[in-house]
Amino acid sequence: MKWCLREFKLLELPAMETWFQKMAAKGWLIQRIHGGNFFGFEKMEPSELVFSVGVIGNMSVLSAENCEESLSYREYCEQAGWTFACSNRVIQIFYAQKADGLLPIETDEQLKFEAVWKQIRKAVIGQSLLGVLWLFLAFRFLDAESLLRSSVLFSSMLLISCSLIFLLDSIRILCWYWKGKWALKTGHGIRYCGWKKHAIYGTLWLGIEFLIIILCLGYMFTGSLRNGIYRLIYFVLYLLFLLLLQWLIRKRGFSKLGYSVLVTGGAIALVIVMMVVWDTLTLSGISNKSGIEIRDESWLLTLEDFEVPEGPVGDAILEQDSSIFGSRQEYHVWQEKTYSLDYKYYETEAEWLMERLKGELLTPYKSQYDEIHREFILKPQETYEDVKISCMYDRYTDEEGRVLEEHFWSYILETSGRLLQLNFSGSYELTEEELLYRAAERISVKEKGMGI
Amino acid sequence: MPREQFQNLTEPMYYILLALLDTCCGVDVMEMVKQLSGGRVHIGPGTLYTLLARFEQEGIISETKSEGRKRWYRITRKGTELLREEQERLKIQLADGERRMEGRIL
Repeated sequence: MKWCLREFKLLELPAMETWFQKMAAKGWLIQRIHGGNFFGFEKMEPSELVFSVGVIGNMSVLSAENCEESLSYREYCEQAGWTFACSNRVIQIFYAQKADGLLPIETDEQLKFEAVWKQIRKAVIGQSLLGVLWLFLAFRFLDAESLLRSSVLFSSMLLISCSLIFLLDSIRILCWYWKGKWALKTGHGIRYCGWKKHAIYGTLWLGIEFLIIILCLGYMFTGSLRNGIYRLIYFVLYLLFLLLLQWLIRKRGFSKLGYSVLVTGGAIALVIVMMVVWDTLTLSGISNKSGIEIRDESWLLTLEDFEVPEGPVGDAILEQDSSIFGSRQEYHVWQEKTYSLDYKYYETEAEWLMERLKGELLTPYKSQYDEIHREFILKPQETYEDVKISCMYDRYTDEEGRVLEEHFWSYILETSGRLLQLNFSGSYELTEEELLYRAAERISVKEKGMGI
Repeated sequence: MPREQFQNLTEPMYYILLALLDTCCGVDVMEMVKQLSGGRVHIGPGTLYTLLARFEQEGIISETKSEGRKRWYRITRKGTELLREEQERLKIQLADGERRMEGRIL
C-alpha cells in the first residue's frame, strides 16, 4: 500500500475525484483514508476509472464509519453500478468503469450543495469560534514584558497565525456558500474547488500545517529542559488522545452527549496525567533550581556586586529571557534573611517598547484591596553618567486629588534602551548611594561590555 | 430541496412520489422514474437516498418492509395529498400557459 499526504476540504470534491482518477490511470486505487489526510492506495492495473465523492448530509460526523446511514447510501450507489472504495466520516468514495449510461451519484445540485454546507458549516462555526478565542487570548496576554519572552512571544505568534488561518478559511467557505446560494437562485452551476485551485490551496494549507508543527516543536524547547520535556509529553499525549478519539468514532460512533462526556473526561484525565508528569519531573530533579547559579556572570547584578559575602540562599526567583525585541532579567534573591536584592531589567532598542515597559512598571496591580486612586509616581533624583536615577513612590489620593499616603516603592534607573527597577534591603557595608552607583555603572551605555 | 419545504415539488420529487404510489424498493425507484418520465428524468442514487430520507422524515412516504439493508416504501395519505396538490398546481399552470400562448388572456 502506498500512502499519500493531502489536505482536502469538502469544497474540493471535484479535485478529489480528479486526483483519484489520475492515480487510477497510474495504477493506484484509493482504498483507505486515515486521519482525513492520509490516503492509502493499492497497486492495480492502470485503468480508466471514474470516481464520485459523495457527502451524506443527514449523517453525523460522530457516526461510526459503517453506520446505518452510510451503509444504506452505499447500497443505493452500488445498485446503480458504482463500487464503494472507502470512506472518511461523511465522505463516501465510489468508482466505476467508464461506461455510457452510468448515472452520476448526485443529480440534484441543490441537494448536493445543501449536504456539503450542512457538514461544512459545523467546521466553519467551530474554527471561527476557536479563531476568535485564540486571537483574544493572544492579545489578552501579550503585554510589553511578554514581547521580551521568546516563549510567550512564540506561542502568541503561533496562536495569532492559527487564528488568522482559521478565520480566513471560514471567510473563504462563507464566500463559497453565498456564491452557491446566488448561483442556485440565478440558475447557474455551483462552483466547487477544482484540481488546479486545490493544488494551490492544498499545498499552501499543508505547508502551513507543517510550519505550525515545526513552530510547535520549536516552542516546546524554548526555555528550560524541564518545560521542553513537559510540553513534549503533553503534545504526544494530546496526539494519542486525538487518535484514540478518531478511532473510537470510526469504529463505534457517538451521540453528541456521549462525545461530550468522552471529551470532557479525556481533558480531565489529561490534566491529571500532566500534574503527575509535572510532579515526577520535579521529584526526579529535572525541575529543581540547583542548575541556576545566582552569582552567574550573565546577571546584570548579583549580591556579590554589592560586596555581600557568600551565604545560604533563603529563596530565589530567577528568570532570564530574550526575544527579537530585546531581553529581560528578573532577579529576586533573599540571602539568609539579611540581604535581599531584587530587580527587573529590560534592554531593547525599540523606543516604543521601552515606553510601554515603563508604562507597565508604573501601573499598579489592581486588587480588591486597592483604592481607586492609587498610582505610581516617579521623582527624579540624580544622574550618574548617562543613567537617570529616580525614586518610584506608591501614592494614594482622595477624589479631590489630595495625597493620603505615599511611600517608597523602588528605584528606577534608565538610560538609552535600558531600564532597571531595583530594590534592595539589608545591612550592606556600602552606602545606598554607592549601591545605586554600582547599579548605574552596570546599565550605563558608556560602560563597556554591559547589558545582557 | 423542495422550495420552502415541499410547497412546490421539484421534478425528481414529483416522479419519486409517482413511483411510490406502488410499494417500491428504494433502488427500483430509479428505474421506475426513468420509465415514468420516458427516460427524461434521471435520479442519481445519492440524490434518491437523500430525498427518500427527507420524505420519510416528513411523513410523506413510509417504510413498508425491509430485508437486510433493502427497504420498501410507499406513499402515505399526506404524500398523496401533496402529489394531488402539485398536480392541480401544474394543471392550472399549464392551462394559464396555454391560454396566454393562444392569446386568450393579456
